[in-house]
Amino acid sequence: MTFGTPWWVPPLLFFVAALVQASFLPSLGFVAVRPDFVVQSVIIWAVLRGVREALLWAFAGGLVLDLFSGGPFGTATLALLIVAFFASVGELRLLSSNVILPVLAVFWGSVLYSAIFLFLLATHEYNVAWLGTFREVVVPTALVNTALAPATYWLLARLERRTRRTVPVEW
Amino acid sequence: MLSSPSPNPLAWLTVFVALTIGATFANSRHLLDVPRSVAAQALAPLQTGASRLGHAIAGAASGWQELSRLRRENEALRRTVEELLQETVRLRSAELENRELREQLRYAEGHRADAPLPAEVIGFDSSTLLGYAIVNRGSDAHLEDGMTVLTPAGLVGRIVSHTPRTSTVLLINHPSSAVNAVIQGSPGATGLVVGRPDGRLLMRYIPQAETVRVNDLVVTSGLGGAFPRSVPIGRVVHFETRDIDMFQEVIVEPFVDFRKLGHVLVMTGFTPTKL
Repeated sequence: MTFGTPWWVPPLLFFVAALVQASFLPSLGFVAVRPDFVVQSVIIWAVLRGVREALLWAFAGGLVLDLFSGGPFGTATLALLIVAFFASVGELRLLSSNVILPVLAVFWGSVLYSAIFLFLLATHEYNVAWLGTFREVVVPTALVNTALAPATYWLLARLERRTRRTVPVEW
Repeated sequence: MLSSPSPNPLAWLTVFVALTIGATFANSRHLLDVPRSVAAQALAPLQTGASRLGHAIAGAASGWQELSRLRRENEALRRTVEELLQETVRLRSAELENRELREQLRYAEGHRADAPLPAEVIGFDSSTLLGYAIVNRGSDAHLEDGMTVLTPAGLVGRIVSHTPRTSTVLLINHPSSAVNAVIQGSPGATGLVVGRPDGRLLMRYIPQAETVRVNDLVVTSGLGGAFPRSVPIGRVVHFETRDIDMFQEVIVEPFVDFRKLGHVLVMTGFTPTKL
């Protein structure tokens, strides 16, 4: 078994991603639509590594997002877990070396994440403007996530290769 | 490379969903208050650093943009000197508007005597679907839930939760926010200002009998006691009146630019009524 990169690099990346999207990007002022780095990272990781790691990082990434959020605790975690599950069970891993599929997964995963998030907000008696939020926030965010997905995929695919566990074949 | 076969994905999902629901339940019972507070305190310096870095970059970028813009503007102004006469008419109306705004600002100045506390916005909600801002003052600075947050331009929101060193502010441009408001100069034109996903505000439940015009100023009415009276909110940019409706609705452009929120004031002297 070999590890090219320490185990703590992926969670650190998720933490930095959450910090960037919660504090750095909004302070720039001119960023009208904020990308959701944690969501796209979890989806791409789900495609690269499958359901087990996807759920683990969705759980960790969701908790970090909830920590940075003023909304009901657990909302981001639950939404991210469901998205990670769907992103990883569709056997997309078989085609994970093709960048198109993870990118498409990021778009639909982002939309699904927002829909679940809004649904959970509604169950907490938040006033949710479904149509307007989809038009003004959800779809633009999903498009930005999709546009940035190739770069995120390139980064995570490199990380995935360096942290991949190899097991020798026994004869 | 061979990877070991994964167990049933549904079983894993069930385990993590159960953990999340457990965490949500624990949080609702305030069992996570201490760890969340500790984490928030530990994160605050990181958020402050990231936010200041962003502001610095934005400042440099906007400086360059501003220079380019001024050059273009200067060029355009040279060509349009003749049009300045026509502009005078517009300037007069702007002067009137300015006078009204000064009155509003004077009101805000008056509230400075009520110990307004400056605070720095160090982050926004991690989700683009929620309208919260995080400021770098908390219960250590005697901030409490419900306190009004504003800038000299107008109303920003109110504090909904806090830790010793940070507070979470629900911004008025989020659909979950509701502020009792009135059209300035028309005491009967009261309504409820709620956020819209596009960042503008919607003022609802204005009686049909009231006359509303574009550019009318919208201020807090003080009804309900959640916000102080006469804090500027925004300006009417569009209104819709239909005979079949019981109430009018107007679109309000907020005075505060929520995308460039850097420093705010917390009105520590105003105690919101808890109904």
